[in-house]
Amino acid sequence: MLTRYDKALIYFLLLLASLTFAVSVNFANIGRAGEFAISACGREVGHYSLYQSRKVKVQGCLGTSVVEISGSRVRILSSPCPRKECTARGWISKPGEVIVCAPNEVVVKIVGSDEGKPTDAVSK
Amino acid sequence: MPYQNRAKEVLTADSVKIHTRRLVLLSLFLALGIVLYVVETLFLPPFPLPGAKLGLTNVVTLVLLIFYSWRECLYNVLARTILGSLIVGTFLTPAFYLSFGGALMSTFIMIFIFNRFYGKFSLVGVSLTGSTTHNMVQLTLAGALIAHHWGILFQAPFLILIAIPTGAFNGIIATYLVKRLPLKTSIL
Repeated sequence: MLTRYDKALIYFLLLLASLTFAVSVNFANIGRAGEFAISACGREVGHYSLYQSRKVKVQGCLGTSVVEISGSRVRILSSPCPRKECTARGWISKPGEVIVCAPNEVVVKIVGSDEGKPTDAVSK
Repeated sequence: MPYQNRAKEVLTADSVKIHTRRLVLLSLFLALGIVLYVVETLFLPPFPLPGAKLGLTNVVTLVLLIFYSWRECLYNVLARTILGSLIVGTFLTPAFYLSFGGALMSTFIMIFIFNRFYGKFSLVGVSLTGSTTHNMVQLTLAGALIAHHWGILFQAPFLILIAIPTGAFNGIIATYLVKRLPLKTSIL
């Protein structure tokens, strides 16, 4: 059933996936995660520190979502959206990582603590 | 037969039969597409990855590509996305634009691949290009419309990986359907 070209296409897609994965791993580690930003229904709700465990209630387009911060990680704990994809996304902790809840229009994204500031030196 | 000649055409019992048959079959395909869309959106458990789903409606697109032409296929996709989102309740919300853009773009790509390269690629290959395009367009639209942030593109590798099994699955289903459906291209 699979032709030669189908198999080539599958290999090409696998290659593409691993390439984009390599790129994303290399870029996601830039900067140290310090805080994250929440926006809901098109407006900024605010910036929060990652190092303070707490629960934040966010008023979205559909209803109230609860964002939980614990152990310098963030997740959406509960959400009024029908498919619960944002809660299934789980914890995020690296700069550049984002949780998007499309029905409720809640976006949680992690910002590097030194984003926008020039760095003198980086050692890894 | 060209469209402008249709009015002059003598309506014999046979031609009426064929037109009615075509109308009914296309409506049935549309209904099938909408039902699959609604069932998939509302009842199937979501993958643990946002934006990923099986995309069973794509089977209808593939079957239409085989039995009809790109025109019927495109009309089906447009009507199905709009009517389906009206039923699900997401019409004109960001979720609708995501699914509309993804469906439209993937249909264009599949039509192109099917018309130019069918034979080299099987239905599975056509379906794979469609599912990958669908996921990538949705991700880009989500970054532009909802997140306003390109960090979401870091999910691209996972969405490509998910697109391979789902696309292949739909392609295999469509291949079996085309084999088993009691339709003849001469009377459609």
